[in-house]
Amino acid sequence: MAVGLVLLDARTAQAQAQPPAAPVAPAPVVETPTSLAILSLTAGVPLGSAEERLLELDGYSGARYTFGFTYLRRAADQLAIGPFVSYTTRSSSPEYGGPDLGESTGMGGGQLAWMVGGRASRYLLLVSARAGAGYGATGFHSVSDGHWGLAWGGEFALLFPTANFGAALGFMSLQVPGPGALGRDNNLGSAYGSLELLFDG
Amino acid sequence: MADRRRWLAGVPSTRHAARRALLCALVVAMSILACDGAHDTNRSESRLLDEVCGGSNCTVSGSARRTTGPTGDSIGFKAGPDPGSISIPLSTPTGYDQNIVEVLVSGHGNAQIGGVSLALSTEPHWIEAQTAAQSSSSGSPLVASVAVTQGNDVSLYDVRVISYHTINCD
Repeated sequence: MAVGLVLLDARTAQAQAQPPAAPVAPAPVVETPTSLAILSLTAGVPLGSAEERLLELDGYSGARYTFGFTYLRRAADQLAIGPFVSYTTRSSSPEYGGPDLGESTGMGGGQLAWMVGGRASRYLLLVSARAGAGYGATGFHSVSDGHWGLAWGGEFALLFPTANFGAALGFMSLQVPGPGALGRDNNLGSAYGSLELLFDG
Repeated sequence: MADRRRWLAGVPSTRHAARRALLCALVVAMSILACDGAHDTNRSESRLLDEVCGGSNCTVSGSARRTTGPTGDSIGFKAGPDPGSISIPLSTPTGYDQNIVEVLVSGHGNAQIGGVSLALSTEPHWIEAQTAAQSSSSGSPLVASVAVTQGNDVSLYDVRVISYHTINCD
């Protein structure tokens, strides 16, 4: 009996001598969304090009309008990557009459975005770079004679995930050869502002 | 206070008289300037070249050739570096005192535009090709002519006619 009590005392003393277990640090909360789907409606001014200057001399100018879709998936805490596609259209009526100038452009590629914020912050900042390819066609009487080119650009977006809404400023460049025999180097991109509808997960 | 009493009594003050004189002088000056420089202007449509040269009205010789223009579905002309010429007949707008034909061109070296030798720029720009005064009943035929000699080249993108009707100031 006495031996048993001595053993019990020894175990208790040993247990008391052990240092308390260190508190487990909570896992860092990643606020940025796992995935983002963004629909955008954009109005932009054409980026300058030799073809644009020629068309202006001939009485043509005007805005480009773009409908776009982007899907981003978080690759790191604040980095997301995903594809984008867009369709741009333009119609310009000259001041003194004549045929309208028509343009149709499609672009697609990849987007890398640096993200700050999330639902807890009620805002999400996206600073993005885009690169890909595009195909654009121009014409006075029919939108034809298209050309492929390298598309690239950047965008700064302020999004409000709880409202599923946001806005962005950016530019996209799509340099293509001049249309027609006398067409000059052309850029079918634009500097733009856009309204964005987003869905985060 | 005295001015206000005179104004209430319907008697113009010195200040009011000065303002009225200044206003009259301004109206007269504007009328003179308006009559001196004002013209009623009309400009032809964009892509007049496509409209005029859609058929076989426009003629080329030598190295000059018809091509597509600033887009794949428009018309343009090129000439050079061997000698060549382009001739584009244009209909004369009626009811104007003066018509000016202009050509949108670029190129290297010199070109005979409307019979006058002019230096070309590699950047496209409008150059006056013909000035034709006309009576109210009949006008001079309008022609846009562009020619190059050996070693020069020109691209013709479009033509236009700007018409003026001088306002009668009598």
